[in-house]
Amino acid sequence: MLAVFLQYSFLRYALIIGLLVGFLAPVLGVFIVMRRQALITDALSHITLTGIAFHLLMAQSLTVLQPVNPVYMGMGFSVTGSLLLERLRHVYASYKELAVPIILSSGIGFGVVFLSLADEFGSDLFRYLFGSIIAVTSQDALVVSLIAVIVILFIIFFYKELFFLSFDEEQAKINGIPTKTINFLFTVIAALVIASSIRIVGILLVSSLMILPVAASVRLSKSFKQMFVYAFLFGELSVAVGLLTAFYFDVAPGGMIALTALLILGIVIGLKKETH
Amino acid sequence: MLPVNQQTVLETDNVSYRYSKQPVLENVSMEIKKGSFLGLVGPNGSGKSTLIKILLGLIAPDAGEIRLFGTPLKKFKHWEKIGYVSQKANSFNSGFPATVQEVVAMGLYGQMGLFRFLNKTHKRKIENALEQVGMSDYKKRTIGELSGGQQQRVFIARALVSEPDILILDEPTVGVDAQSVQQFYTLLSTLNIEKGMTLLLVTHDVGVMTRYVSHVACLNRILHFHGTSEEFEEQNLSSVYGHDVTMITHGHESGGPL
Ligand SMILES: Nc1ncnc2c1ncn2[C@@H]1O[C@H](COP(=O)(O)OP(=O)(O)OP(=O)(O)O)[C@@H](O)[C@H]1O
Ligand SMILES: [Mg+2]
Repeated sequence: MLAVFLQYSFLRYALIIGLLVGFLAPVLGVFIVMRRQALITDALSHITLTGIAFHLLMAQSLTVLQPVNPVYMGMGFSVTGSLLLERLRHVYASYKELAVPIILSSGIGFGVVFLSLADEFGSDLFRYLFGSIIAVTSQDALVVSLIAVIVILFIIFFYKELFFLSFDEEQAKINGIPTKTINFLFTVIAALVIASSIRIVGILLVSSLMILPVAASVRLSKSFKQMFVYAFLFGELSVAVGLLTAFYFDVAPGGMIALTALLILGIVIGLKKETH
Repeated sequence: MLPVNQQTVLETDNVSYRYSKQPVLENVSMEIKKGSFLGLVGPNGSGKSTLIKILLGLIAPDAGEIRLFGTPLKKFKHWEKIGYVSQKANSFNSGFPATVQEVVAMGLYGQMGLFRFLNKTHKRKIENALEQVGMSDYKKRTIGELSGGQQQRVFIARALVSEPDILILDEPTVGVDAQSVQQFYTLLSTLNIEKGMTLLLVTHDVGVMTRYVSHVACLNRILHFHGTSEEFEEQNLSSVYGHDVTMITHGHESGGPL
């Protein structure tokens, strides 16, 4: 089965992207979950949809846009959305979670209007919503690899700051950690990873890859470092099993990845019945 | 009595603050000299934590000025000189899977600067800090598994690890048993007397505190009293608190702090 899979170049590229986001998403997810911001992933992925819809609409009149992958526009929107989100979190200092539904609903609102105007409610949309393994190009794989390098360097160099910030933002600030800058960079990085993951898992299921492996990991981990080890393992396992089964049964990969991640979470919860 | 140096570590000049309408602090002028141990007391809601947050630059005062080590707060950069244990230190996300060691290491992150990693010297400092608070045996445990008092000690170790010049503690003994409170004050005394560390302690245990501190400040929106612990003992408690309070005072020697 694997041999067949690797025979086609688009499947190889899909696998490369899948394995990259299979650890990028959950590793970022560790920080996101620890900061109790799990919903942020949904807000940013929906804003990506808006960007994609905007691209599809523009491409109808601007032919130069037609050969370009709409995900790039999605990425741009997602990064912009992440900055808006940080601003809103300051505006609503004591209701920080309000920023998420505001961004999320504006994302869907604009997205749906753009898609209607572009008359794009077909199979393309389905691919963006639930992921797909067809027509993945070498360029897609290259861009995601590049993003992966940036994210890995970011996490290595800012690990201690991110850790402190996730644990106690106020104390981090007092200790002279440049919290604003780090928060800003982190949100941009998260937006990039979310946009990269959309190719394979789809907008509606990005959060499953970012959050479910972490949810399983938090039950097993005895230290912060272990969180990453488990999140990495569960993320990669979900993507590998998800992609192969999706290909085999000809279903949307996002669904199979989310189901695999859920299965892992179920097993972990079942194995370790203890509240966290 | 300690030889108290003349250098001023921390200074507030006519600081006022209000959250909404009600003033919380009015014209508070206070200073802490190097090597002194100041106990800050006052009833609930008297503005103690607010004053500390202003000192740390977490909130900006409506009026007045703060100087840290002689530098106006806005220009102050050497945050590694200040250790802080917040009042709500033990209400963090208790499910956070960080080990005691990892938590204490955070205290070094600010002074290490960006793009730096923990080295042997740092690790030795972490060991030392844990030893000082008697938590060495727990370094591999996750913070959420510890009792409230043990967690508080870990947070004190985190404040100590960067070897700050001044340690600011906001009600660190809440939820700590009597014996541990005793040990805790002994630890503070040692830091103050042997290491010459300046201390600012917010507390409600007035009786115990007066045995250890060199100075006392009583806050209730305005500063009702600011002087040495000897002067404080001669005062009538209800006058310094600004209203009637009954306070259990423990028997203590007349010689002042230790
Ligand atoms: N975030 C806030 N928003 C509005 N009012 C606040 C806020 N924090 C504190 N206050 C008010 O300011 C006053 C002073 O509060 P503060 O926390 O400084 O008191 P405190 O002396 O530390 O009390 P305690 O001994 O209970 O810790 C209180 O009346 C409180 O209601
Ligand atoms: Mg307080």
